Formats: sequence, C-alpha cells, structure tokens
Amino acid sequence: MLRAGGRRLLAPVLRRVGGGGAAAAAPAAVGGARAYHERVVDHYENPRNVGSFKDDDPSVGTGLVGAPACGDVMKLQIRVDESTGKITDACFKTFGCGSAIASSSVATEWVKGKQMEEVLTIKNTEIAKHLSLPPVKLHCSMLAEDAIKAAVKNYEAKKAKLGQNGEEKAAEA
Amino acid sequence: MLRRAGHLAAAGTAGASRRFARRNPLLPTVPAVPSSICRDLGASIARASSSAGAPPSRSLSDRAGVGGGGECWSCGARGAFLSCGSCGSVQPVDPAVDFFRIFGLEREYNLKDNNLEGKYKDWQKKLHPDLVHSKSEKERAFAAEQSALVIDAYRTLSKPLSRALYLLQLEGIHIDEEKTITDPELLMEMMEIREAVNDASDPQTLKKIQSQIKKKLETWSHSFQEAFEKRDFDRAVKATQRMRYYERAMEETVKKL
Repeated sequence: MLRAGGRRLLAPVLRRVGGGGAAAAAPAAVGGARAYHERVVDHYENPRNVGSFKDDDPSVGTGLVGAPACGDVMKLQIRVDESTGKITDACFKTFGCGSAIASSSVATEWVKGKQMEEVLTIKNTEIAKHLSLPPVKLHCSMLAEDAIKAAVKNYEAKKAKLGQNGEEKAAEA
Repeated sequence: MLRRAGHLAAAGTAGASRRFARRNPLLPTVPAVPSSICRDLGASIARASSSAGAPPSRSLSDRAGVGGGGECWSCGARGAFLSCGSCGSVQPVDPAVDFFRIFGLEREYNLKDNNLEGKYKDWQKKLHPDLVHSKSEKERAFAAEQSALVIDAYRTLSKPLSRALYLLQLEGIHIDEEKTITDPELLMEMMEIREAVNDASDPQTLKKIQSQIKKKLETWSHSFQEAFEKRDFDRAVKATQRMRYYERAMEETVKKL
C-alpha cells in the first residue's frame, strides 16, 4: 500500500514526461526523466564476455570490487600472456544494476588485446561517456575502472608470489 | 536501472488507482490536481524529507519545547504537534522533528514499539490531504507535507536497514555512496550467494537460501546495534553495508520465487 502511494506521487511527473508516448514506449526509460543510451541497453541485454576463469590459473588476474551503497558486486578477470604482458582474454560477472553490467561488459571489451600498463589508464569517465551514463550512475563506471585495476594488481601479485616461490625452490635445490 | 522501468508501467494505472484511493481517506495519495501543482508538491515533499533527515538544529528543538509541538497557527493552542490537539488544524512541518519523535519513540535501533503501522495510520487519519480538501490552501499544503513526511518516517523506521542508515544520518555520519570496496572476504561471500540464487532452480533451494540470508541479516543487524550503542560508527557503517548486500540478495530470491 505504501509503495503504491509513492508511485502515485510520482505518476503525474512520469506521465508528463512520457506524454508524447515515445518515452513511455522505450523499455529502458528510467524515472521518466530520460531513456538509457542504446549502448547500455545493448550491453545489458547482450552482455559480452560473461563468465569465469579459474582463479588458481597463474595467467589469470581477478578483480573483485563492490559498491556497498547499492549492494553491487563485480568480478572482472583477465588472462595475460606472460611473455608479452598482453591481455589475451577477459571476462566478467556482475550482480548489480544495468549500468554496472554494461560498464563491466564494456570494460572486458576494451581490455582485450591491450597491454596491462595500457588498461590501467582506462578512466571511468571514458566508460561513462561511451555509455552516456547519467550522473547518478557514474559510480557504476567507477566500479568497472576499479575492477580493471584490481585484476591487474591481482595478476601481478600472483606472479610476484610465484616468482618468489620459484626462487625459494631453486634455493632449496 | 532497468528494474525501475516498472515505475513507468505503474504510471499508466495510476489514474485508475487514484480514483479508487479517493474513496479511502487512509491511502497516502494526492488528490487529483493539475500536474504543475503536483510538481510543486513533489518539490516540497523533497524539501520536507531532506530537512527532516538533517540532524535537528538545537535552536529549533528548543523552540519546539520539551513536550513537543508549538503554538497552533490556527487557534493558538499550545502543544500542537503535526496537527493541533484542540482544533485539529494540520501544522507546518517542523524540521527539528525527527522520524522517531513522530512515532513517540526514542532514537534507538531496536524499536520498543511494534505498532508502528497503527500509529502511522492514526497520523494519516489526522493529516491526510483528503481530510482538508475544503480548508485553506495553506492548510492543504501543510497536510500534503506532513502526510508525506509521515509516510517517509514510517517507511524509514519500519525497515531495519533504512532505520540504521537514518540513525547514522542523525548522528551526522556521512556515507559516501560512490565509494567502492575491495574487501575480498565480503565480496567473495556476496558473489557466492548471488551465484547460488542465480543457479537455484526450485523454490525449496531458494527458500533454503532465504533462511540462510535471514540468519546473516539478523547477525549483522545485531552487530549494528552493538556498534551503534558503543558509538563505534565505523563498525556500524560496515554492518549496514553487509545488511545492504544481504537485502539485495534477498530481493533477488523474492523475484525468483
């Protein structure tokens, strides 16, 4: 009952905006104020590179980040060619809103085929611009930027640890 | 985001439900008014809730008096709180009144009252805009604001997480909504829960997951209570983050059931 009351408060505003019929017909129109960019809808409906790599694979880096205010969680993984430092593959799994899903989907597309140093320069603002995210959804692209950084960091930490273990083993021998 | 598209669909039927609602003065709804007025109303509601959400300023609380309530603008009787006890006139919103006071409660996480809904309905019987439709424009505006404020108060206090966040807000604790976290233990657990919900194909499995989430919610709710009492706000904020994640997962199970 209460929730319905809130909708009714909103309803006149929504009707006003959607009055022409076009906005009301768009499936991704939110809050009546604006429709999401078609790229967001596209990535939401057909997310690219959804999946998981084995976390214990030494060539895999896993970035796990969350937005506690929304209850979103995002996992972005990269597979790195050790000899070249190039990201050969990427995948993600995101539980969150459409903008968070679209942002991480775009992020996996952008990191593929790039050098690790190069992807560290990807800024959330670029992702947000590409998807035309509204200001209230900027933090979703921030989450994707942080996930890329966390994945690279995780890969490097793993590699350093493996290298260390290798040295220790060599010393023992 | 796409979730919210549902509101649009709801908008289409709002006209019909509003006609219904007008027969029931208890339903928190706005009488049919031109959209320009509705817009102003929306703005005033936003103002009312934001001002009520802010920590009350000392001077205002003092002015309101210890017993709560001031002088009625209409009949001048003392102790008018939300509405006047003598003449029944709806009073203007006092930004110093927090949600707990509206329900006569202490500012505590564990509510000592389980009749929030009853009190909420009692207030709407006094404040609902439909009750003052023949009164002055001024009082109709007061009723719209007060009624919306009481709805907001009821919604906020009736749910543990929003109640916890409101308490932190009253303490002046700012929670950065944009902040991202990397706590692997917390995030792994959330990932696993959400995957389990996603993969669950039968109601039994979902119910089982629900009861697990419910237990965790209780644990962290208790943890919030403890931290808040000790004024350990860092821990209290962390507990609300956990609660948000579990609430979200719970919502997903409900959607699937």
